[in-house]
Amino acid sequence: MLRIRGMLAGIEMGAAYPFTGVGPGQQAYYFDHYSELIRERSYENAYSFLPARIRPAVQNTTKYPISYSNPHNLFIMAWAETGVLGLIAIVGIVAVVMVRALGTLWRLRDSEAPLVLYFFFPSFLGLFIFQMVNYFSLHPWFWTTLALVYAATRDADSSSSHRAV
Amino acid sequence: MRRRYIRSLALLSALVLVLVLVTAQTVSRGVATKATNDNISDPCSELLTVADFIRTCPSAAAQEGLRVRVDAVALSTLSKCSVSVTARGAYTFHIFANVFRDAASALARFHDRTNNVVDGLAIPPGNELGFGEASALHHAFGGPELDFQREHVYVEISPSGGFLCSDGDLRTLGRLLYERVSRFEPYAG
Repeated sequence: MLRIRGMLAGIEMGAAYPFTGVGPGQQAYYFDHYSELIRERSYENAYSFLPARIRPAVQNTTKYPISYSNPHNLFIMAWAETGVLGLIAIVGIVAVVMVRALGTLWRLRDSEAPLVLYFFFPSFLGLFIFQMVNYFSLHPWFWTTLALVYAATRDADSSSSHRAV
Repeated sequence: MRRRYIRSLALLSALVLVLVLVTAQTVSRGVATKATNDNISDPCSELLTVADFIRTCPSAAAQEGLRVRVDAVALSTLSKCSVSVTARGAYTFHIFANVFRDAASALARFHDRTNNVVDGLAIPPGNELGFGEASALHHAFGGPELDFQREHVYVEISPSGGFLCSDGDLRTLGRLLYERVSRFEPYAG
């Protein structure tokens, strides 16, 4: 529940500053205000569009200050802190690496050559899924794994083209 | 190659923009996010300054980067004056003054917030602090929180994490705010 409140607060924060966000590393200073707005809207039945199963968790008056919660999502955090430009950049980086890695894995699905990508890609996927419900993007594990997936993809691509030659 | 790059970037940007617009629109549907009249904006911006805060909570003077940020928001049944006091290291302190149409609504909010705060924890109603028509000091959210109602205004003062103001100083700050909230006119939206 505190994660959903945090995510909604992050979306509100970004909507208030859509082009620049509140600034990198600044969401903690703004969070309580937006968390309070989400809490306040519980009195107005503002989340009637949410599925009935989730709604009671969002639509209640429990207080979640920054010491309890945060936007809890990589993309929402990017939207809240850096606005639409930062969000496009983050989505772009992640999408390029994932699409390329998936393409390579698909292309080499019948290959018997050992690929480090088989290890790095699932590792990255695990960290990425974790990022969807918990803010983790400042941790070096995520970016290191992302870089390793990219490098492993390039390595697999160049090895397969050499073999083809 | 370059054309393909630009096409991919444009497609990605368009997709992200559409997603963002739809999500933000849905979440903020039908709710104003900025104060639409000066009934709240002016008294809100004067509710608390950094100097006031240091005077009432002297321990905060040692904090680096102390600043006050004010947001006045008009919602469908009340106006909300939100004052954030922050210091470097993400220490935050929030004051929310909820301005209602009448005293009954403000008192109802006070009872709602102080009797249902956390599972099973009910804060005794009354005027424990000797000011406000109803007031309470509790630790329901980890740190201290001071809540009071004065006429059509209900105020919550909460040092998130509890670093910027001690319990005793919170009472002094509460008394200052009790005087200042009288400047808010009843919600007229």
